Amino acid sequence: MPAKDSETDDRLVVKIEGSSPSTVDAQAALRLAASYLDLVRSLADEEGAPLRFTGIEILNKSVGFAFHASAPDVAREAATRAARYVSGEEQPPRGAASATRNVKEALRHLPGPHSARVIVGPWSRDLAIGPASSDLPAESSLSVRAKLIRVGGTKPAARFESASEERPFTVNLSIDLARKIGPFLYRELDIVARVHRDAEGMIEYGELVEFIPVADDDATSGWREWYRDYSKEWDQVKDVEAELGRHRH
Amino acid sequence: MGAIDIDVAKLPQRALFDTTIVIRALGDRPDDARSPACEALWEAMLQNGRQILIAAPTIAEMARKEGSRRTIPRRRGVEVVAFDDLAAELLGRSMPNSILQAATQRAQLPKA
Repeated sequence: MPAKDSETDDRLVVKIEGSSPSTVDAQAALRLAASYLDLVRSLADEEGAPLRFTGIEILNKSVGFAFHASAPDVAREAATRAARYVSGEEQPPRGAASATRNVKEALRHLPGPHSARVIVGPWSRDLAIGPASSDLPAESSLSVRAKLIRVGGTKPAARFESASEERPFTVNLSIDLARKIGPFLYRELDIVARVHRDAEGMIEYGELVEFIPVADDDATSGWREWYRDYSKEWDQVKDVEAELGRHRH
Repeated sequence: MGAIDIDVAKLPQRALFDTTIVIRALGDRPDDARSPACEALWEAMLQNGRQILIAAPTIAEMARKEGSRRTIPRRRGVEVVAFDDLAAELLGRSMPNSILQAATQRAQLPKA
């Protein structure tokens, strides 16, 4: 790559540090570059400043790619915002949340101690995921109604979608549980799982603990039958709201 | 119950029912003037493909009986949801006391 004056350099550079061109995980490197360009472009589009990247240069003696930006100032501004969103310093706008997640996923797929750096002209910064938000537990118990949409694999996994989760999610499970849950494909289940969430609260991975099938039978009759036994206790309560402390001062 | 008219267009896709609503919807307190509305809302939600959510603490409040081992019904349309740390934090942020007081005043709910 010929040397350029950084002030006039119109390229966006994505560098993978800590690896050599001969051994780098090619798919992981390309995935990171592509997802980052996608995020930068989406942020520029959101500002009404169309941005195109053309050409690919492979950096000498290091792992990195350079792309010519149609509007270097727009690229620098969007690249700065993108890095902040990825690091977790700021929350991405709704329209860029998915693209931000994709960059984070790509960073997580970089092997070992590798890190990334992004450069636009004289501006550069590390591209890194910030520490997990303290708002969210690293691992938690999930108890939710979900529809099973896929199950199987040599290392068994089950994929679910749920009205309580923003995106479908996949959890591992034992072969025994996989056999038991198989017949319930495309059915609703009440599931319990141990899950790990990312900084945005999306389930990254987890382990299915148990599941209970949900019946299509009439819900009202089922719940009335269940409550009938307890209603006698409540018959002795004169003021339900007072008993439950629902009156507010 | 025939006098209760539920506007289906205004039904939410999912709604969390408090204990005081659920026990009336399930036939308790038939003489209470509020019970028909609770039953009508419950039925309207189910008949129109909406999801009724019941928080796990509501189950604890309803099922107060020594020695009972009845299992919770798992039926389409009614879901028992966990009240975990995420739910607690979200509820705290979304429903500060000022909002609860304003809602109480708007609904003209009785005060103890």
